[in-house]
Amino acid sequence: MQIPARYRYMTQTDKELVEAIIRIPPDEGAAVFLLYEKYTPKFKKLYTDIYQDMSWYDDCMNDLFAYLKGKNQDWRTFRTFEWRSKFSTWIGQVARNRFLEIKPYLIGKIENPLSIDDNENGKKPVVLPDEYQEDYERRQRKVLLMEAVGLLKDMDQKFVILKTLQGYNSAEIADMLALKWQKEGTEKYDNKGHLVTPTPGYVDVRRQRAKEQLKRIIVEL
Amino acid sequence: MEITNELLAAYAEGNVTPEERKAVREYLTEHPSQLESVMMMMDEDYGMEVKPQKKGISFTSSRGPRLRDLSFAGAAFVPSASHSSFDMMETSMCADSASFDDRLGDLLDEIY
Repeated sequence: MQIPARYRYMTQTDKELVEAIIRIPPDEGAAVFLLYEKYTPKFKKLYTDIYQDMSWYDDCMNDLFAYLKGKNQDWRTFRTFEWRSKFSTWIGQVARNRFLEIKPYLIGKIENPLSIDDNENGKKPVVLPDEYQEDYERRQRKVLLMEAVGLLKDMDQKFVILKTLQGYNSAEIADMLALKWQKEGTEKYDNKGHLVTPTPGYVDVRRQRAKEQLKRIIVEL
Repeated sequence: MEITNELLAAYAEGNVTPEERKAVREYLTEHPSQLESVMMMMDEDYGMEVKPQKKGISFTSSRGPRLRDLSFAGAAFVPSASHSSFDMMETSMCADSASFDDRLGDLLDEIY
C-alpha cells in the first residue's frame, strides 16, 4: 500500500524536502507541504506582524511560492541556500523580506508586482526607512544586547526575553511556555519535588535572571 | 562584505566567523530596523500564539474578564516604585502600543 505523499513529507527533514524540491523533475508537493503546511504558523505570525488583517495572506503566500520557484521554475532560491543556518531560520527571513517588499503593491501604492526572477544568493535584506534618531553608540549597544540574547544558555530565560521583546505580557508568556514544555515533553520540579507549572511569577523571575546574565554576556562581548 | 539573508540567519544562530560578526554588527548598527529580523530568527517558537493575541487587543473579547485582568486594571491606578519600567511595561495590558525598538531600548536601559 502506497503511503500518501503528505505523510511521507511529514517524516522528512527540511534538508530532505529541499533536496526533493530542487531535483529534476522537482517535487512540488514537497514545496507545497513546506510553505502551506509545515511553516504556516511561522508565516502567519510574520504576516500579521506586517499587515493589519488576513486579507492578503493568500496573496503573500502565493507570491512567496512563485518567488521561490523562480521565473525558470527551477527553485533557484532553494538551490542557492548554503545551509549556514537552519532552514527554518533562513526561510523566515526570506518570507519576511518578501512580505515587506510586496506590501506597497498589495495596498495599491505601486502598479506592477515585483519580479520573481531575483537571485536570493547575494540578495540584500529589505531595509525599512530608519526613523531612529539615536546616537551611534546606543545603537551599537542595542546590537550587542540582541547578540547577547542569542547567547543566553538557559532556554527559558531566552524564551522569556524574546517573547517580552515581541510585546507579550508575563501571563501570555507563561501560557506559551507551558505549551512549549508540553510540546517538548519537558517536566520541571522545584526543590521540594513539586511539578513546576509556568506562571506569570515564574516568567518574571526568569526575566530578572536573564537580565543579570545579559549584563555578564555583554561585558564578555 | 556583503550582508545577505543567509549571513544574517547564520549570525542569529551564532554561526559566523569573527570577521563576519564584526561586519554584521556594523550593518545592524547602521540599519537598526533589521534587529527585529534578527530577534525573529533567534526565536525558534516564533509562530507560537496564545489567545488573546498581543496585537489589536479587543475590548469585545468573547472571553469574560478574569481575576488577573481585573487585577491589572486596578494596578494601573496604584502608584508603584517597586517595578522597573521594563517590568511594568511587560505586565501591563497596554504594552502593545510599544514597538520592538522601544522594548529593546527599555531592556537596554535596565541592563546598563
